[in-house]
Amino acid sequence: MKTKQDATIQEKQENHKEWLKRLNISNREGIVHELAERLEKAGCLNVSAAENGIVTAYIYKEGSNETIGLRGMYSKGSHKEDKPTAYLQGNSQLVILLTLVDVLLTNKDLLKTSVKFIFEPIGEAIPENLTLSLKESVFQETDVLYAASILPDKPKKQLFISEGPVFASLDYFDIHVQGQGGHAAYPNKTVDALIVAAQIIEELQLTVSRKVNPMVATDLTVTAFEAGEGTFNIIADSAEIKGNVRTLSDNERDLIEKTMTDIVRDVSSSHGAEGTLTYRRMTPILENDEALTQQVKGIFEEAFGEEKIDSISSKLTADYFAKALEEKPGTVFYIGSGEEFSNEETAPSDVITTGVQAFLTLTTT
Amino acid sequence: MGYKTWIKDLENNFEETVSWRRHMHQYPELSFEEETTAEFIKSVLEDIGVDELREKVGNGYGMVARIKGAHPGPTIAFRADFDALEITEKANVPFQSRNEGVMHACGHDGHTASVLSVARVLSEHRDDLHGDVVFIHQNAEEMLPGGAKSMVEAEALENVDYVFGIHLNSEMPVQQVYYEPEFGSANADFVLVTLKARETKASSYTPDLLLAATEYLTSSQKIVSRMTDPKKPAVLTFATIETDKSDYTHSPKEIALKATVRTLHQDTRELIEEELSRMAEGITHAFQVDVSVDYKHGYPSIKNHKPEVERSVEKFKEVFASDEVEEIEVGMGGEDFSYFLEEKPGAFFRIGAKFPGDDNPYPHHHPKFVIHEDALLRSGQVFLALTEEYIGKSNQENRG
Repeated sequence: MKTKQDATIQEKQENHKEWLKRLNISNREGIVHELAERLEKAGCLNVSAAENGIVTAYIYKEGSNETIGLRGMYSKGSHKEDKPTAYLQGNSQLVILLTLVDVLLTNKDLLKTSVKFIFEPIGEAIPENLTLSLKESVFQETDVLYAASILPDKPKKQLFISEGPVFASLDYFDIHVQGQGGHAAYPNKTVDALIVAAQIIEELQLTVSRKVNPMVATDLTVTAFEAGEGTFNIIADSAEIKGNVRTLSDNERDLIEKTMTDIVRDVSSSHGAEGTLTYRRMTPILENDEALTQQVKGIFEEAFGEEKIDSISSKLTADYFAKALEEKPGTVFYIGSGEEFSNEETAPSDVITTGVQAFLTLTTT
Repeated sequence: MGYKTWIKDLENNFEETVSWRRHMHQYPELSFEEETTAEFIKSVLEDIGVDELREKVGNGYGMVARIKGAHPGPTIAFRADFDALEITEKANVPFQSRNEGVMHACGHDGHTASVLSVARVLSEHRDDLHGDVVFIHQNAEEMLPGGAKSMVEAEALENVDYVFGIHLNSEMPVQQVYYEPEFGSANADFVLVTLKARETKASSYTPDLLLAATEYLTSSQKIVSRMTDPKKPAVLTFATIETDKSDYTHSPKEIALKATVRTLHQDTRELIEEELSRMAEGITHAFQVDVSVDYKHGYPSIKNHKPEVERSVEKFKEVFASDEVEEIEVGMGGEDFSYFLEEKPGAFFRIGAKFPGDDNPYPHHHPKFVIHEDALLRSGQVFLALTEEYIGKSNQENRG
């Protein structure tokens, strides 16, 4: 079975890779509907494609009341140069799950439960429209959730899985500093919003280096700073700052928000300005369910051998899949792809095969 | 005839002076584009009947006119600028700008009308003059490189012995005449600092370009607070930060910081320029980004000539009420009249133009900037007082 299955997996993944190459020619316009169509043609049921790019499809097991949800990302972009990491990650995950669809449909009698596939566009950190997917209950109608990512800097075909925090929480912040502009030659008659904002940015770094528990990985990045009207000689009346915060601890997350609020308010007022912070919690810490993860680890060890399974440390990337895992038990695991990953359109074939096989162990008997 | 008659004529001509000012206010033109304004000024000068008129003096539409006195003596020059600013006027006046997006928001229309009003008066009283009066109508004060330096190079001050200028001030009470004993304005320089991210390998530390820029912004303030002589004024203002990206998750790869540096003394100016470059080198190494500094010298500071200040102020106190002549602290604004004073002795004065009872006047360069037009009369009186002092008949008699 294994050898025959491997051959099928190899053949099917090549089909899907060819399809992606053809899509690239048209700059992947309409990929959402192309994907939905492909799933329908393959034999999936209840296929839907939403305007926000989320595509779902089902393979039903007769008589089963349970559904395993499998989340995969796909890249909307057709050019590796634009966002190489997202492009390769999305292509690889898409090919893995599409290949899995083919194998499952030809082996429906081996399904443990029904399976729901959830495909999401990758690349734009946390596209705010994707939060709609939870409101639209995309992850509903599932009993357990799985997702896999490719890791290019890890040994090829090795699987990595750990319970507890896997990905960081992601928060966005906006800071508005209101000063009082005027002639650049007379700063004493103004409240210079630009320099106040600069001071705030400096102080914010102390939050990470001096307030947060050093044992907790935390990142506070200011990504945007706007002030002034393009002149050399008019003091800015106001300034805007944007950025994000990532951390692996809810305690530190609360501490950061409070500290930032205090800094923005107090640094501003010490200069005669008014500063306001808008802090938005975009996605929680992604935590792999402890019991489920132990179970999955056991399944992988049995299927691939203990030497092929390893643990992985948490990362400061964010995945709004974490919101789904607040409500459903689930696990995210990784597949190592070695250094070759960066030179191809997808991860190497044997890495794709490992991914398909890993999902097969979770969805079939 | 004499000074008192001149003043009476000035007052009688006030309506005309105001009409000139309002005409220019309605049709403002940007620096180096003041073609029709120059034509208007020329038409007035020709109507006045000046003895000499040179057009397109220097790098733009500047012009120089001369009224010759009936008697020999020194030549004094009065300068007025006539360019406007890229501002959409919001002042509630019946003579609001008709040129969209352009406004006389610094009083240059008032300066020019005042100088023309003096020309009108003196053209009728050549017999009273022991020397000549030159009228320098200067283009492009508001935009580097300015018009003054080029007019000096084009010999606008040829055969001139003294040169004077005034500036209206919307935030100071009308009727007041202000003088600064030494410096009359600041060296006004402009700085562009560019920061660029370097390409790095994905696995290595990624330099934070925005943090590097922030560090530069805050550290550079220490140049003023810790490195310059505290007795020598200095201002470093970063007015704009521009980045190539502005979202929540992608850091910029290129940042531009735009600043102005204001100093009075040359050594302070040089120190700040040097330290801004040194600081850029430090940030380059500390943050592993590329920082470059483009420092452009603007107008030098006005250095009023002490003897002319003293002589002028003594005259002002003679002809105006004593509490209407006031010494003030120099401001850190820039003004290219400084180039004239680098060539010839003279001084620069400020004339109050704030409406009485207005506790919150709009500053210069504001869309709602306004002036009290009595300030045109006061400006004219100041120039006539200087004329009387330097080439007036009674004065010459006293000086033998």
